[in-house]
Amino acid sequence: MSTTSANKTTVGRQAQLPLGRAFKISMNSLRIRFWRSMVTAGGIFLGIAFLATVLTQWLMQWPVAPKVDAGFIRLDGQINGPGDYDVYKPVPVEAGVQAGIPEEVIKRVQLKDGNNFSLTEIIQGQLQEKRAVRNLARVKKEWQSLSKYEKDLPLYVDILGGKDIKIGDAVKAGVPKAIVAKAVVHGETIEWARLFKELQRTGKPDSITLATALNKDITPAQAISAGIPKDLVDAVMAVPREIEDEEESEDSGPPPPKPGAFRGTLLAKVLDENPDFWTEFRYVNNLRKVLPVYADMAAEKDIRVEEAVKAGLPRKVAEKMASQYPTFKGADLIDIFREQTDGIKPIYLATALDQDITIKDAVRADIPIAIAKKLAGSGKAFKGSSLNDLIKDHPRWIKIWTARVSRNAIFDTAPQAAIDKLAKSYSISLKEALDEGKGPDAKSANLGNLMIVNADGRKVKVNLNREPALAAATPLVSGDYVFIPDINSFYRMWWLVGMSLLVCMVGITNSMLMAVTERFKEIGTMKCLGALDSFVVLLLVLESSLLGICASGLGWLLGFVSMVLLAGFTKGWDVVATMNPWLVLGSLGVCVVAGMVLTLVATILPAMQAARMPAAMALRSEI
Amino acid sequence: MATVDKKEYVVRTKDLVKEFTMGGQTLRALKGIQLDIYKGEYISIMGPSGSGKSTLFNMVGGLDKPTDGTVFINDVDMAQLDAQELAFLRCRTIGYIFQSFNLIPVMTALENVTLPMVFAGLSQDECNERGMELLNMVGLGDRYHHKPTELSGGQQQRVACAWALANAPSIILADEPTGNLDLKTGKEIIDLLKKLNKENNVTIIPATHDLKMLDISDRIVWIRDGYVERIEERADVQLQVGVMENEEH
Repeated sequence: MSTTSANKTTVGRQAQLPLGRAFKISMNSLRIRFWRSMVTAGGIFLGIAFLATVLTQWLMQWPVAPKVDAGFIRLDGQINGPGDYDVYKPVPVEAGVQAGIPEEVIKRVQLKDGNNFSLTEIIQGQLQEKRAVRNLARVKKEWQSLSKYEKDLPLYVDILGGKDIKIGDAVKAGVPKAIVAKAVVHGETIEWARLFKELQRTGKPDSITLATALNKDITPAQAISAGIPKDLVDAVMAVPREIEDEEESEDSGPPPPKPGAFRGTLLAKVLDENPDFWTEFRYVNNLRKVLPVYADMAAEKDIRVEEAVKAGLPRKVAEKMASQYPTFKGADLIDIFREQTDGIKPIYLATALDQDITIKDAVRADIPIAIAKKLAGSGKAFKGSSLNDLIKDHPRWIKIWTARVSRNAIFDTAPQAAIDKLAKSYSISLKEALDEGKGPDAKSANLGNLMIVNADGRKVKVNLNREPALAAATPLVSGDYVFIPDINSFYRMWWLVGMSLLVCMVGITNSMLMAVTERFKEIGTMKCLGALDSFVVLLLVLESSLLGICASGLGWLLGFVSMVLLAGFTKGWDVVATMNPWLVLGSLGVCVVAGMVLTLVATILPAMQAARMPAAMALRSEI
Repeated sequence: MATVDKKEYVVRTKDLVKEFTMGGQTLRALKGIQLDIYKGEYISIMGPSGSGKSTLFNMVGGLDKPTDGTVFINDVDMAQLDAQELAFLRCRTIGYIFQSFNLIPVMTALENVTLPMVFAGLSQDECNERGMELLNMVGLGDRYHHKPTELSGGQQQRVACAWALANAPSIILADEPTGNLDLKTGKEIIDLLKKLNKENNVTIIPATHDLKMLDISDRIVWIRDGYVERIEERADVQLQVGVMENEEH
């Protein structure tokens, strides 16, 4: 090794390092202080993530269109009285008949004026029928599994409730006789025959309920004078005689009712069979509660004291009649169950002991999983008593859906071609919809940016400011969602973008200042070793722009993915699917460029300051 | 002992003045330093803390600009150089050794040593070859892939020596090279510097108050309060290093 460069009178000029070399050095530096760099990048990352959420929202046209029912359109945004409106104008009856809609159907949906009918209601009726058929099938299937618990489960709920239980019932419900015998005490249940006699004697309840209990004939006039709605009386009278006769011949008991009258128990039966009828009448609701008790009496069933009192029987009478019928207390049985569980199905035992039934156990016991999940709510288990309530409630649902199916079946007779034809010629235009919605508020509605979202998610933009005639020329279709944005929403979005960029800028500047400051010593050293000022700047800028690209790319990913997930889970995945993939790529580009530019702007000043600083001062700095 | 050609100056300072403004008060760190350093000389700059050693060091190394006066390196006036020429000078003519080593923490020993060569425009292969040669010379050939944090203080300072030699400079400036080292490793570094001085005929200028340096210096410049107090030939200094060791801080 030998020294050179002695005796130089002129000094050479230091050459700039090739870019490739500088790139390699900065890559190396980034690689080595990876985690430190990631922290620096965090500021960029979060800022750009914020920007990306705003951009993604914008791409998805948030707020997004909700689903609109068939036959309707929805006006939303800056419009007075936004809401759902019929998408079809009233259709004249003649036009409907001509198109081939059956007259019975038209009669069902006739408007008050009598000359027109509503096409929307036909479409809604068809939808409701489909829904009812689907639901009926579901509840029936569920009932197949549930019904086998129908008979026995209530008993175990009664045991849990500490009620009195008859020995015979317990044995029938699968409690071994030996266990029952241990729990037998004397209890109180009214023997039907004694109750019957007592009622006849006192005549305390009103005439209708008494007639029900005694299964006497009631004439419509009597019923109406007793306050029963005419609808209900009509429905009872409309029950075919043959069925009634048939049932009674099976019983081979009392003679058939006189013509023009009906049997008291029939009233309870009709009420029970039409659960979705007349629910709004308080009187009917009361009948619903009271009549079954009396119907039970008529059917010679035993009645509980409490039920009899609730149904209007004086408590004194009821208690006096409490017989010496052998019963036992449910609470006693619970203690026995704790020790002796042989021969009792786990689900019953869990009910009696008020234990939790997990969804898994329920499914193993053949309970439909949908039901188990519904009962468990947000948890993983439910109580047997809630299952019992549901079992009691379930037949009602079967009846409700059966009634709906039969009521809406008529709409299926309207041919689809006729509906389509009418829908085309009687659909309303955008102008008519806006008029019906009392017109948008010109001050705040952005009519130049009006948007129609079709039922299939396709978006149409309408500029009514530029082409006012377009409103009358744009027909709306069933399920359309018309969004009239707020003028301010446009500015608000840009304000958000601006704010997010500002947040970004502050975060990045801070990170970069820190990153440069803590490297002052290193920069001084490099200058001692012959690095040019411009090289120091180049090195820092290269590093930070690499960092900026990566961090903003990742930030975009975070913002985009979180927004997509949020929209997907709250508004539906079809909303996400409406985004244009090219625009999504564009938003990535915007984010990366913004991140890089912000990073460069934030880096270049501290980098230049660091490079210009005399080497001696940079070396002295201690961080 | 290197043969010193008295005619050939490598560093000359003329009326060197440096003022710092601190809190509105002007502090004169250097008050007109006149110093001629010959090629191939081992010349220690001695003085207590705050005497202006480091300031002089920075002026001579071109790391800072003097308030007044001139510094000539190889007869070139430093004040006349632009940034690129100054960088060229720092890269090839002067090697620096610092008290706190100042190795770049994220680079390995080899990468550190080759960095000045990269700045000098050598290819990667040339850099690696010469870098390994230098590391072998300072006895760290087998530790080339270690980062500074994985090396002891003495090893780091030896890497710094190799670093300073990277582009075969004619001057090595060392600012308290043994200040952060214990006695034994400090002695090793001093020996290494002396070896470089002898074998490569490099001018070594350590600013120090380590008295061990006195023993091997050709000349000693004593600085006090920004003045050159006296310049002694080594022969004039009668010091028993062994006695003085106890006075180490």
